[in-house]
Amino acid sequence: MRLLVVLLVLALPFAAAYAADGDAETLVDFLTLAIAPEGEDGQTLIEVGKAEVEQSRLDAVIEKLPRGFLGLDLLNAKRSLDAGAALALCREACRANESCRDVSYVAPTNERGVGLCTLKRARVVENFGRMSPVVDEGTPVPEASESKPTAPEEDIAEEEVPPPELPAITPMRAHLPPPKNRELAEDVPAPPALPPIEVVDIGLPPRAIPTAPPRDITRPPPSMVAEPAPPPTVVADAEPPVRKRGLPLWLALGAIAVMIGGAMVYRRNYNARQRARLTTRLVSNGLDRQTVTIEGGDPAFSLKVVRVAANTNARIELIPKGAPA
Amino acid sequence: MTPQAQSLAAFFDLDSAAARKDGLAALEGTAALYGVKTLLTAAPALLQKSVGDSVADALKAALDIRIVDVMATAWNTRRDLMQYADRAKFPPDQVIDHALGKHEIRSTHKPRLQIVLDHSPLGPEIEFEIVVSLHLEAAVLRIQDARIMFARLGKVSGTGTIKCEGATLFTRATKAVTLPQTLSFGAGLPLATTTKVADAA
Repeated sequence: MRLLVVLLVLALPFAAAYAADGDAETLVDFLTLAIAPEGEDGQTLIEVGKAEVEQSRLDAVIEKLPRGFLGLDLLNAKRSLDAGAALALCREACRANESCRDVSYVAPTNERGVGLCTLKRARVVENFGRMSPVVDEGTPVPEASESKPTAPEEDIAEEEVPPPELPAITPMRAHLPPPKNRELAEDVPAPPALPPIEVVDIGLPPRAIPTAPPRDITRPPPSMVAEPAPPPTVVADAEPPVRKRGLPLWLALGAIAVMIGGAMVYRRNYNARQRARLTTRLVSNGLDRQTVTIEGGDPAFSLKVVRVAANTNARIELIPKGAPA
Repeated sequence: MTPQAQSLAAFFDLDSAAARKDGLAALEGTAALYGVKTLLTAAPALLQKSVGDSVADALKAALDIRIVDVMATAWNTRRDLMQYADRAKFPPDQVIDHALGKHEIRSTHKPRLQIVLDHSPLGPEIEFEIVVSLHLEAAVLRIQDARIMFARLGKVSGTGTIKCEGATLFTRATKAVTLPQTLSFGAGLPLATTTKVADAA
């Protein structure tokens, strides 16, 4: 809790400076006018530079001053100039200019017999972020009236105004408000100096030479409006796409052979069953009514040989035709 | 099939496709088969076409008769062989070789067939007439104990016809019949008695 309070106290000055910078409007000089007296009461505004006083124009203005007025007596004269009138004249010139936001007036001196009225306008600030002016410690802060623009302006660029010399960069610590606890701030050691950066050539490999122009691989955004489908194109002579066969030829032929074989087996069995339905039964072989005749056969004589089994002697008898046996 | 076991089916060469085809074509023209086919009009064509084959197969079975049996039956009817049936005159130990000159044996029989569809008779019975004629140059019969034990044959030729309702279905031209020179009848063919032969005559 105590540490949080300390941090809040330390952050208050930074917050205040940020708020002041944010509310202030940065003004830059854009036109310098010389206020030259022309009479007892009259004064004339003569342009002597757009960003800063051009010495040649200023000299020309001084040369135009009345001799009597501008004589030696002028420098030594105790004639009091009407500074209020001159400042009013300067403000009037600012009001007449649309770009003018403020004025600064420098009274004439012994070396310069005329006063200078510088018109200021709001600086066109681009989005470079906010940055407080960097001023070295001990360097007096320039006056607001003599501040020069830190960012390029369109009008100045047109007149080829040389860039102003920037003050030397000072550490940020110089711009910080003095800490309340001086001793605590002094105890903070300075950051160690960084070694100088050395650029080492590590020898990158040569870049690949593209052989084809790069192609845009980004996909076009989808159309929010549904486009009508293109009409179908009719190609008369186009060959039909070759369809890949899903079944090998040998397998198809095998399946066909199996189907044919099965059909043949079925047909054969069917035919066998049908034939079995029809039979022819043999009712009679006709031998019971067989007639066998023997014709002729009667030789001129019959030969009869009679032999006894136990006796080898045989008796042969010739029987004439037609004789009884 | 041994020559001795040769049947009448082989005699008519029913196993020959050409002879079978001609015979079935002739059978198609018979009234009996026409009537059967009329009854089979509503039946599948397969049945109508199979009628002829079925009848031919049945006819082949009806002709399963050995030619030797036909010859033996014919010889058994000869009167001159009946004397050997007298065992008193021709005792069993006596062997007789009886020679026969050129003769012809003619056999006729009539088998009948019935076409059956789904175990039911279809149409009338079909009767066939089978005529076989065998021409023998000579034959010597060995007789013992009133039985024909062996036969020695000379040249044999034969002819025959198969008819159905007067139409000739199969015809066998006269040609040689392949038979063994000696026929054995095993235990022997008993000679017919006088009464039987007289009846057969």
